[in-house]
Order: sequence, then C-alpha cells, then structure tokens
Amino acid sequence: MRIKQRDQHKENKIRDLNPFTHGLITLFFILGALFFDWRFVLLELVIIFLLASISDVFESFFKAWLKSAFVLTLVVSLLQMFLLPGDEVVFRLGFLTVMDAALAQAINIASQIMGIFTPLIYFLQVVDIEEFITMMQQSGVNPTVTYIVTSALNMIPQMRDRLGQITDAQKSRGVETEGNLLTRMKAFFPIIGPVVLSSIADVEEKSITLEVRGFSKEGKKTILHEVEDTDRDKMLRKLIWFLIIVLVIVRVVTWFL
Amino acid sequence: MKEMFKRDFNTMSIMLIPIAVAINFIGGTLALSLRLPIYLDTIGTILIGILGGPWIGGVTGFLSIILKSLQDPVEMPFSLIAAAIGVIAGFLARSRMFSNIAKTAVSALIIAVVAVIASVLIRVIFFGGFATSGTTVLIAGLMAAGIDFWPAQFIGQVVSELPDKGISAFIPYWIIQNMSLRYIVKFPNGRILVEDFKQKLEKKEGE
Repeated sequence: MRIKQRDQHKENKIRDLNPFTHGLITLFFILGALFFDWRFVLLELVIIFLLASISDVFESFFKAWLKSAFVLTLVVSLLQMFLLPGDEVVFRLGFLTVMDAALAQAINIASQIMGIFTPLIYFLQVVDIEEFITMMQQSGVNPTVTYIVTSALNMIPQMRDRLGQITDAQKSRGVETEGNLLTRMKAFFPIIGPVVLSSIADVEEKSITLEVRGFSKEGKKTILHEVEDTDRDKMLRKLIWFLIIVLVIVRVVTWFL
Repeated sequence: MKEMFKRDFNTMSIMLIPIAVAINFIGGTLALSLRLPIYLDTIGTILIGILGGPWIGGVTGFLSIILKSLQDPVEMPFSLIAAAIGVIAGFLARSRMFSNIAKTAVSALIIAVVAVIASVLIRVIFFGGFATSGTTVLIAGLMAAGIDFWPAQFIGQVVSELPDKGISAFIPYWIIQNMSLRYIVKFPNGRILVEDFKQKLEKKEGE
C-alpha cells in the first residue's frame, strides 16, 4: 500500500479541510454512535453519505464501505439475531428463530459497528495519510514517531518486492510452492528467512544514514510540504469540540433520567 | 522505568520498527499466497519484541494493525492484541524464555493463550462475538450445534490462534539462531540473547 500522492486539491471546500478537522468530525460521529442508539447512527450515515458526495469521494468511499462495514454489520447482526438466546420469540424463519433479546442486541451491535466504522472509512477516503502525518509533526508530535509511521508505510511495498524476488530465486532453486499443505508449509521458511535476514541487515546501514543526517539531534525539523491550517479550520474545530461536549452532556443527563 | 523506556528506543530499535511492521505484512502476504490456513502476521512483532524489548514490541504490534486498518478500519480493535503480544514477547525474552527450543515452546504457548483470551474479549466487546473471518463460521457452527456462547468463542479462537501463534513464535527463534552475534548485541535485548548463546556454545564444547 503506497502513500497516495494527491495532486492539487480541486477547489473542494470539504476535501481541503485540514486533516485534523476531518479527524475531529470523525471523533464526533464515533462518540455519538457509542453514546446513542440507532436513530443517531441513521442520521449520521445520511450526513456522511452527503459529505462523501460533496467532497467527491463517494464512489471509492461507497465501495470501501460496502466491502467492510456493511458486510460486517450484516453478518454480525444476522448471526446475533439467530443464535443468541432470549425470552420471547419474535419471528420464525423456517427452522431459525429470532428472540426478542437477540434482536435488540443485534440492532444495538449493528448500530455501533456502523456508527463507528463508517466515519472511519470516510475519514480514510477523504484524508491523505501523508498530510495527516505531516500535520501531526507540525503540531508538535515527536518527529521520531512520524518517522516510524511514514517509514513503515514506505517499507511495506519495498519488502513486498523483495519477497517476490526471493520467492522467484528460491523457486528457481527447487523450492516447491504448489502442492499439498505440507509442501506449501515447507516453502514458507526458505522464503521468509532470507527476506527477514536481509531486511534486518539493512537496518544498521539505515540507522547510520539517519544519524549522519542528524536524526536524533534536538531542535525543530523543517518540512518540505507543509499542510495548511486555515482560520476557518480552527473555527470549525472549536465548533466541533463544542458539539462533542454537548453530546457528552446530553448522554450524561439522559443517563440519570 | 523512564530510563528503561529511553534505553529501549535507541536508533537501531527505532529503525527496526518499520521493518518489523513490514515483516508482519509480508508474513501475512506469503501465508496467503501459499494458501496456508494460518495468518502468520505477528512474526515481526514477536521478533522485534525479542530483540528490542517489550515497548518496541508493543509499538510494532499496535502500529502493524493500525496500518492494516488503513485498508479496512474494522481491524482496528485488534491492534491491542498485537501490542500485547509484542510486550509479552519482550518480557519473555528478557527472562530468557527464548534460549532453547523447549523454553521457546513454553513461550509460544504463553503467547498463544494470551492471544486467545485477548481475541475473545476484543471480539465480544467490539463486535458482539462475530466477525467475517473463518473463525466466525466455526463459532457460529458450534453455537448452532448447541454449544453455549462463551465456550464456542474460546474453542473457535483456540483452533485458529494456537497453531498460528505457536508457529509464529518459533520462526523468530529460528531467525535469531541464524543471526550473527555481533549484530544481535546491538539491540536492547542483545546482551541477554548473546549470553545465552555463549552458554550454549560452552556447553557444547564441554561435551
């Protein structure tokens, strides 16, 4: 999974928002889904779908959403409905029975999963991860942390290539990757061994390179592509924090009633 | 505690984290492409836990799953399990529980047990016990056959986690056996591991 190089933002009011603003919106929705029931989540879904279409990511968002949150919610709620016990039968479907408690739990879990993961999926579609990481660094997160995350993201495709190379090399030396389970299991070790060992051997070299470039020195680091944080962003974030507090208060109050 | 924290995070270890994360990913990829019935996506976490200590292991585990969830956010809650595995591997290594095959087997068992308990808890708390993996099919099948909720959860997780974590704990052991001592010593846990090696060598020479 490579870091996407976003070309210039089209003049899209939602998409151009600072990654942290997006993050806060996501947090608001997640908290709402945790605090309230399916009615909130339904509203939340409508809003997110709207946001997705305004910010021009609807197609990829919808595909991702279907594959992940939707399928999961469906499977989980169906399984819960039919398998969990309860006191009264709500309806029967052939040999399957649905109990009242099971149905309630199924709806509850469905709304939680939908409510938590849909905003996350939207967030990942609308925000460029690299920008988010840069924003973290700009707001004072230790550059070591941002380095680790960025480097991990970069290293995964690199190592995948190496995996392909070594697999081919070992295959040409007679390692069998097709066949019964035992054969395939035996193929794992001669492939993973060289990949891991050669990657770890690189670590020392990379470590020295970093040190030479002043990695562990104190002081502020400069950034090549800075992320904008406009006044509008800051105001929006204040507004969302306010809404989050309202959310918490409402939840606490309704808990005592 | 803070000194231990700082000492563990030297540049070598920091550099190892992204690589360990990548190892987790390709372990999973390789297992998938060879169509093995186990995930093998915690090899990097355990390896770096042994070499770099519990905190590095924990960070690696956590980060691996977080990055995985960039593709599928539903994985996110499982990051806590991976982090726990990394931490435990680190502490086990510090207590010399990876110095020979027998001890590694015990460590593998401990890690597997932790993984099972954590998996059940996370799955139930976040997803009500079911997800979209093969394990879910197993659990659902067990429950349909009349087994109660909690036993079904545990049995299902044991079947899927025990072989996976068991093997995943042995692979780092085998890898470290094949690394040069000079290199191992550069890592935070290096000294302990090298001392074990030397003891073994002396024993062999004495025979």
